[in-house]
Amino acid sequence: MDIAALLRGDAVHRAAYTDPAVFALEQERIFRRAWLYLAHESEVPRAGDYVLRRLGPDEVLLVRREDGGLSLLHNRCAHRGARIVTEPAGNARQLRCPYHSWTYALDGRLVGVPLPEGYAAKPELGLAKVARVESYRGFVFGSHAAEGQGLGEFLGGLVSAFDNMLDRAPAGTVSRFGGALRLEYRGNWKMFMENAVDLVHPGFVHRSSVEAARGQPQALAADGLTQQGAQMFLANGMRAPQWDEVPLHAFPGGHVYMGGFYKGGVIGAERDDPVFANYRKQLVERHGEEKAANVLALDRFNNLVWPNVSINARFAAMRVVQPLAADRTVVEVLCFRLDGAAPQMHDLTLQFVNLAASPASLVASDDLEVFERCQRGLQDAALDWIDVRRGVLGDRRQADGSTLGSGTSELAVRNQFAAWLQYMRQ
Amino acid sequence: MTGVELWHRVQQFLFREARLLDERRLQEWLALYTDDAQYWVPYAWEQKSPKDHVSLFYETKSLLSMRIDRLERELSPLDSPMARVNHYLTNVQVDAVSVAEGAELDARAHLLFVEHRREEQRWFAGRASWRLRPRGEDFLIAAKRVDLLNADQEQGHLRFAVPF
Amino acid sequence: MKAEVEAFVLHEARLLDERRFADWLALFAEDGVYWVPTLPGQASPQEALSLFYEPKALLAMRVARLERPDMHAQTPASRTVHHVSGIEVSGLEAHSALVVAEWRLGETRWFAGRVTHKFRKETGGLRIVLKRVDLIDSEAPQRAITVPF
Repeated sequence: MDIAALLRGDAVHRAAYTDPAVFALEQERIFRRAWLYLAHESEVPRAGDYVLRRLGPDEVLLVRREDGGLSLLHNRCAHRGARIVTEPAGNARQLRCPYHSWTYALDGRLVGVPLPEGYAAKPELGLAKVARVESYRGFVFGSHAAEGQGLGEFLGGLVSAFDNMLDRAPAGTVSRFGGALRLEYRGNWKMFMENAVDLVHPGFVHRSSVEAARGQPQALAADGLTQQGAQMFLANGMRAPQWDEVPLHAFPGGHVYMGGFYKGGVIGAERDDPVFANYRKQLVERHGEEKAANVLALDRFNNLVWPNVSINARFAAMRVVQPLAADRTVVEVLCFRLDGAAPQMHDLTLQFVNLAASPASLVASDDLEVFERCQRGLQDAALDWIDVRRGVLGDRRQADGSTLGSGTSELAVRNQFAAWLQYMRQ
Repeated sequence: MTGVELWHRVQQFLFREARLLDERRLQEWLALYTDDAQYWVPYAWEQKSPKDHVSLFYETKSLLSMRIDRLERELSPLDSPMARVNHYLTNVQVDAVSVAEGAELDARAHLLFVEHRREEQRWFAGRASWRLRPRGEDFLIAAKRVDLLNADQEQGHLRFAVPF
Repeated sequence: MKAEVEAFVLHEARLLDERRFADWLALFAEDGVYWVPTLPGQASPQEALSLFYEPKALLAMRVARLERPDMHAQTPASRTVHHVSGIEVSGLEAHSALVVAEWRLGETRWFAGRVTHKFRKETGGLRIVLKRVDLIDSEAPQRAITVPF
């Protein structure tokens, strides 16, 4: 397959989104190489704790060992290939296959086989280990590739997103809570990543929720949750010049982050209520006045660590992309407690995620619809190319290799495909 | 008590049985059955007897108790996570207009249920019938039979963990 | 009272199927809430994320959007049938079983759940204080959800 032929200047061939052979190659060359977000250390605090996750195409177990380290193992018995674990999380002293009771230690070593004399050669097999697992300040990533950039180098400029989330926690740590919301759409995974930093679509795609909020001015004086919803919906109603002022900052590897656009009210960077005042005091205690002000003022919305995660540090939320087929994607939406903050702060996090990212969200549901329309439209062979030129003349290359663009630019898509090509070619 | 009142009371009882299963209150569900109860899901359409043909379920109360025990104690990794079920009962009919002292009465309903397990939903339709033994204002189940429309299908797996 | 509650639940279902969303909203008390949790047995909306957690004023924006022609996720609009069964009434609380068949763009999608209603008797009649829908697959991935259950 001639991958380079799928990109032509600032145009992308539709096969990049629709062809199962391209999808399979992405699984091999991107998802078996890149660092992919897996879990947070707070999900496996004690020895024997494990969570069952996907790492690209494979099902894996992240296990906390007795020595405090983490093992990342394939969930597949070395004997006959059975899935050993079927529950999403648990705790065990050992991992035992339900089929013939092959037993593994928490580091994947085979430690017990009933009727060992029955097996022709003594099995020296253990659970297959994933090549690399590494944690950046509690955020655990895995990679199927034994070689390549370390996690810190891979994250590059996006470490600032994780750092900012942690800086926002009075206790300096965050922890997973609240379960997850899961979205599905019949469309390609790259559409989700592209859309997360697309600042032209909100005025059009989300118009119905913008206008619904505009038509209910009393919502802004209603209960706190309704106020938050109304403000979030209204925020999507900015005009093009305002969107243009929201910066995009793109990095090698396909990563990108966008500036924020929630100005004022309940969703502003600083709020005018006693809960927030107390929270601010906690941050000042932790960081001092100047740094606390800077932490709160870092105004970004979505931060993308390509290919599989989008983080919103201000709202302590994360979305993890799971590509299942060229035309089928699941997105898991998670959130974190800022440790040390009052419970009301965690409540606001849940509210934000419910409002913004539920499959029933007044906002996200229209995105899912548009992705599905794109996927259907891309079946049409009459036009093979899609155009991603918007804003290219405004791209400003920086000394460190990153690129700045204005909010209405399709810089993020171009940046994504530059990374895509690099992975796919080798 | 009129015939309509009896029908309504039976219907509410059957709805409650379904809800206990849906809410996974399996011990309470089991307590609705008499000690000599029979729980039967035939394999053949219009099967005459459990004695001369295989069945999907043919269980005494003790066997049901063991089944529930196994589910609740998560002794079977092959059945975890446990399926979630929802029952929908319609067309409830009672074959009596009054209840005589010590007598039993028969009830029937259409059953639709959905089982969600490991990202998959399976839908089943069938007809259920009960032999009820009045106990004060309430009832106990002396026998329950569920005829699934697809009981004898040859393809696909008809393994059920949770009773219905 | 029991008959009144049963009739109310069935009427509510019909309003949704007839897409009379403003009339449906009016069935909620001013402090009414519509809740579809993610976790089975979820104790509160603070415990975990929810598919819907909407006080009436927020639900009003949802309804306003549903009535707009520029709501992409309902262009075309879905056809639904809310099948209600197993209604059990106890005072001002009702439990029922729900199947929603939703047809859109040539396909039918099924939702299954258990519903809890809590009511208050007001001068205008019964009003919903809480409608809680526990979907059988509340933790599973879902495509866009638009018409309330």
